[in-house]
Amino acid sequence: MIKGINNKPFINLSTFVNIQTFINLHPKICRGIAKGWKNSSMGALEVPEGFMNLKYYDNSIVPLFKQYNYLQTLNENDSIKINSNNLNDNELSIYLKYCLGAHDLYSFHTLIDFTEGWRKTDKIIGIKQSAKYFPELMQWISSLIDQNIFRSIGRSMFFIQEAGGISFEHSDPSIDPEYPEIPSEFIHIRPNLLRPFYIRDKQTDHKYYIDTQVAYWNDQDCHGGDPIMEPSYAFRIDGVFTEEFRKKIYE
Amino acid sequence: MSFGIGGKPYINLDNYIDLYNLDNIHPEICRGLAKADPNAIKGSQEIKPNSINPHGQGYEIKPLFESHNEYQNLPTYSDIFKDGQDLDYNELTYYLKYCLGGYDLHTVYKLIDENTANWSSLADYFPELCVWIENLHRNIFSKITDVTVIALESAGIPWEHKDPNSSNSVPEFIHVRQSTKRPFYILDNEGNKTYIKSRVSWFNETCWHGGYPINSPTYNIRIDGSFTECFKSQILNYD
Repeated sequence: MIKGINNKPFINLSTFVNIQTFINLHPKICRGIAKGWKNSSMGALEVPEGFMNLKYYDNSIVPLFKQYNYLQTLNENDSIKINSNNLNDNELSIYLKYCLGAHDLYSFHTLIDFTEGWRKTDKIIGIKQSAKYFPELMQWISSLIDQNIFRSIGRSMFFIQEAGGISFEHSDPSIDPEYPEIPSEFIHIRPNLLRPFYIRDKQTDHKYYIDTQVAYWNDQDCHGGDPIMEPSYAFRIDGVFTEEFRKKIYE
Repeated sequence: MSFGIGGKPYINLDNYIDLYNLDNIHPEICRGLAKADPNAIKGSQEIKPNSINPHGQGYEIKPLFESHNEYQNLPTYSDIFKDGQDLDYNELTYYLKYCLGGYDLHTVYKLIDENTANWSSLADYFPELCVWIENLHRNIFSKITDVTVIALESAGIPWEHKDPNSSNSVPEFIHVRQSTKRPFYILDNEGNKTYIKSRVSWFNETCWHGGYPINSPTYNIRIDGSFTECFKSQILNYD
């Protein structure tokens, strides 16, 4: 059984959100990814307990966060531990990959992040350093407020996946630290459908593949993707939908 | 160039090379990979003609060098062309990957400066590895001309390729793998695969060789130079 949204596994937003401008920005987005690669977050080191659903994966695949947890258990005199000292997060990700064979081909660019008071303003606050690589995209994000899709925007980020990377199935924890009890509202955009992306019903194992470039789903439902031999990216914008937009998509 | 070396598909060098001390410095090497990553070379944008068979292992991919070629043939007024301008090498690699779907999961760390023939600035991140290599200099090599660490991300396909050689002799090098988990093979003239089962080997690099992906990152170290006569005689005459 999935929680879904309005009794559906996901909502296809393609008739409600015009992503043509986003699609047209593809070369500029890729330039931003390229210019900002050193400042992206490479891989997920810390993952909350129970967040990932790893039962469908071969045991030979060891996610990065598991090796990060293992590192914490090592004795301070262990050479693996010693050589991990004073590395920044990205260096530590690379270190754990090669030293302990960890898999994580994601990198993340957070353009906007949750900042106290974001729900109460239609101004975008919490703009992060990475935003400077994507100026045209930042303008488009702002336009989503003008278009009455969002009343306010709290976070926007890229999920960038190298070729062959596995999107481990997971349910999202409550992501707004200020109001963890409020369900997430977001739009999730993919520039193409090459990388299969799905919601999993954990009771029946059925996968509901999201066959649209722009969607909204219940991020407490288990979701993940199948690997492809091509790099890909997705973009997620979290905020508070306007009543008008909610009415449209729930109809 | 004929297949193999000394009548063998490859020479197993495991018994000649100090793997015990190399394994002891594995964490230090990985720390070096992490610290030097921003200055390493991401992917191969250009290759010599007929030196890589990108579909040799049967995967449907568009190699980075094909994306680079595609990019260079774009009209200069196209957005994709314009947005790829004024990027440094690694930035262009990322651009070609995400904009045109280029595939290449290799990162190359050149530890010898080709201009000075001395240790490069990247070698500073691998101090113990440099000491280990210098010890090879005493026993294995009379001269070391190049040292390259090649890192391959999880799920990365090791290109099936052959290295060009302008001379009539087989280049002398040792190829060291961190482990034998990732299958690595050499092809004979009929296309038959011989899997290299040793961690350290020497093979005829002008023959096609490549590997299969595994779900964990790996690295290997290649040291080029001239073998000492003593070493060469040992490895070629050993039965």
